[in-house]
Amino acid sequence: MNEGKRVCGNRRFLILILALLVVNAAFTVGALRDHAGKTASWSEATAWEWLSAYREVTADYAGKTAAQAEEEFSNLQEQMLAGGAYSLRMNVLQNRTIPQLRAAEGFYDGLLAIQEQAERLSQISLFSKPGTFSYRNIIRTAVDFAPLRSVTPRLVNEIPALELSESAVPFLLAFLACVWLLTQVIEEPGDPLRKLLYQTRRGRHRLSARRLGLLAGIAAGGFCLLTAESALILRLLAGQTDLSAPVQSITALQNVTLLVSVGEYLLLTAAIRLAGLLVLLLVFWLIQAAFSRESAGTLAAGVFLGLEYVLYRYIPQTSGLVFLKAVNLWAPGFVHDWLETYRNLNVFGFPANAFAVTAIAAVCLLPLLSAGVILLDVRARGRLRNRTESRLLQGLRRLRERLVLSLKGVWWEFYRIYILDRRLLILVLLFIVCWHLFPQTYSPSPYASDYVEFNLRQYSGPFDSEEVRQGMAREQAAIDAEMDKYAGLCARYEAGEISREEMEIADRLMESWYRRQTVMQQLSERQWESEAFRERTGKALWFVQEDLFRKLIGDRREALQRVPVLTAVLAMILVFGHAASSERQSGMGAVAGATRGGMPALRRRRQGVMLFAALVCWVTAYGLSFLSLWRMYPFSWWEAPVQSLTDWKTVRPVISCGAYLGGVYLLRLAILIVIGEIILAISARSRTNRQALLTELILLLPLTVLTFMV
Amino acid sequence: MLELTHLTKQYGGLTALSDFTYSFAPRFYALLGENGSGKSTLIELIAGNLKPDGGTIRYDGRDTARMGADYRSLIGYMPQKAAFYEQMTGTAFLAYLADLKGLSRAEYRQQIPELLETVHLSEEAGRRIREYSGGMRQRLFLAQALLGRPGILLLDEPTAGMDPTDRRMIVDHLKDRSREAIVLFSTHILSDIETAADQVLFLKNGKLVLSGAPSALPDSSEAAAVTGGGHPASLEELYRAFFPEEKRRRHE
Repeated sequence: MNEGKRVCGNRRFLILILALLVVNAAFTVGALRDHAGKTASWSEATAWEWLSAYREVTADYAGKTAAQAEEEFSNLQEQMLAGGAYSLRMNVLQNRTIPQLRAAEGFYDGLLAIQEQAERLSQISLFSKPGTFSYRNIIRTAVDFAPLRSVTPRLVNEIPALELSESAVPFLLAFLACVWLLTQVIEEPGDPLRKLLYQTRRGRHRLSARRLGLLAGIAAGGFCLLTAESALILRLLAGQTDLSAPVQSITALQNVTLLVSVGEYLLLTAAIRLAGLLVLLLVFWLIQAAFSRESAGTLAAGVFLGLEYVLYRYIPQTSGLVFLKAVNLWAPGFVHDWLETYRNLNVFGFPANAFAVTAIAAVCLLPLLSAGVILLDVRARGRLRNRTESRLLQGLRRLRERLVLSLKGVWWEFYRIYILDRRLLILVLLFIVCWHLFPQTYSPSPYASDYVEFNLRQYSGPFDSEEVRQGMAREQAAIDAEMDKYAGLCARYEAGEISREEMEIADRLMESWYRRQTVMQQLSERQWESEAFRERTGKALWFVQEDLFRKLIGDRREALQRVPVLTAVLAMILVFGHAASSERQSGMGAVAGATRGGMPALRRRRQGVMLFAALVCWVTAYGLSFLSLWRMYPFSWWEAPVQSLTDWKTVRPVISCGAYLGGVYLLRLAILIVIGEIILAISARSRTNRQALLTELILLLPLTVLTFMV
Repeated sequence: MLELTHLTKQYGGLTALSDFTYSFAPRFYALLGENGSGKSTLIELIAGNLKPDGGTIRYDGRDTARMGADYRSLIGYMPQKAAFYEQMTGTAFLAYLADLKGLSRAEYRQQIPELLETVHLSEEAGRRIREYSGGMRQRLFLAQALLGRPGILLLDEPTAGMDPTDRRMIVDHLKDRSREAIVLFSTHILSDIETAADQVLFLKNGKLVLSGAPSALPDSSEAAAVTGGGHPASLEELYRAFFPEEKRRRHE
């Protein structure tokens, strides 16, 4: 209990949990967006409703139903070509319903193929020698897949369950957090405390076992908390997967040879990941405890597990060394790799399922490592203390001292704040969070294509260019022809020559032409404005895609404008919000004030730190959001006057879109620098770091939010 | 020569230092007084961290308030409360302050190892300060004041928390320094300064009440007046007579 209080009962522990929840949420949303890049509808949880029309169909009828879905899709496609939009329904049909139905249709064919292949291969002399691994492997594969013939895949909303089963983020985050906690658990500052602990009535065995239990409890709690958070986010954003459906209902999991439901599959992967997490932590603890110095132990454990990770990532699944990959310490964390791809390992000539090897290795290692940790922990730290360790540490120290003695001026503040106070990690974290907040892998969204977009693909440029004139004339001629046809149909309907149903179809078709006419009217107005603009300035307006500018610098309530500035301000507060208050807190102000440069020199140096942080935050938060949107809404008309954009037509100076956007972004950098100055001013007037951070957060964050809300 | 003329400092209605006038030349000066007598205020005023409410401070005839960085580069200051960036190593801490003091890289690469040797911290210089004991911290903090061979060394209780051997070693080193620098050494521990100090200054309620060479002070007429007629036998006795409150506090 006391150990639990010591480790968990501090503020840093709570902050760590909050930070983990935020990072995990960012990763989950980012992964979902990446996944939805293909479907471009991740935010539409209603997508599942579109699937429901086909949900009741079992695999026996999958082929027939897929044909129905394909027919519906081609009808919608025809409507789109006639001027309609690429609808959500089309999107879901194209990217989810049809592929899933086709996969369900092919499920039994796949099983049959495995059976046939087993029979065929066993007749080929190379594979047909009983007692060889190849022979046994063929038989084993057929035996493993045979029970799946009783499975009836269902059409399910597969994204939430698939994302949850494939995401190793909760596992990795829980591991990193637990490593930090581990250093807190085994911390025994100074030898006197160690001696005291040895002499306690309950002794070291109890203490070690309790620490082990504490670590396991925290690891399990943290992992479950993060997994639950991911599940909740996926449920909210992408809907729910039918947990009672067979796991083979999910296309990517058709090769799972376990007869389990989706829910059971998720529980199984979570349990194995948790076991893997504990194994990794125990290995880390064992190595750490073997060294005389905590720092050396942490370094050695980090290097060892880092190498293991590299081996895991870079041994291909098809390599002859795959056995090493399956028994790698990181394998349980990526258990989905072993479940999604069926593979048998050669264990002394016998095929052993790779997933089973990974799972059994993790479960068997747990008690062994636990016993090892307790045995090592009860002994004095540093059983492996030797000259090599000392030499290594001394070498590292010398290197650090040489680096430190070569620092000068502003670099000292960089070293103090970014390296010693580890604020560089916040900038790295900012980059990771922004990378996931603003996904960089957007494919041009078909969903974004409206009629104007359709026209932009054909012609764009100055309104007075021949290309645009001709394009618009062609478009108008097509619209006029359709209008004439429609007028003729109306006359025939009034004359009783065509039925009411036929006229209703004509009305529906005509709606899209009316829309095209509305857009043409808007374009014609812009053409008139362009002529007036040319008379005034000598330059023509352009026909350009406007969405990028609207999203980037248009409506300030847009999330993509609010999020970058909020993340940038938050990061700046966390990076250097304590820069000046730390002098007061430590008392260094009096000493520094009596030096040659005095406080003004320190203030100048802090300005350097602030400018660097502001620049990094600007590039990271604004740069990545810009790249993200630019890929979504490609824009190449940088030389066009900014007045070409409808919302900016009243801008006074004649300036190109590129220069205008550049100016706005530079202004945003200037605002970040001003905010940086405010942060430094608050920091300089605060007595402690905590007071500084709280004041900055309370004053600046709500202010930023409000600015972008109104 | 550092000349303080009618120096006065008040905090609200409380007078911390009153009409202090004294001239310092390169020597070892011991500053004695009970808590709240104005020792730290005097040191902070000379260091330039506080502005006086009255009076002037001149160095070689120039007003120190106008000398700016030229004056500050003469100062080696060790406040009463040791302050560190705990995550720095001993070497890094000294290098950081050497840079703030405007020393060139070559200068501090030469001086830092020498100073670490002086304060017996060479072996521990690569360790982080948060791992240092109280005495080690105090020695490191003193080393930062000695950086740049300052002309004025302002040391506010520099030997507090040190063991007798370290105290002796530090005082001897400061005595050497006092040949070319003004060393102003505030302390409660008389044994530290009895033999080393060239001049002793007694402060009481913000006023300079007595000053002179430690050997001559007990025989002075002012000392006789304090003890009520007879001359005190030693500096220690004079101190007790001056500060009975301090004596009782120490006894308790």
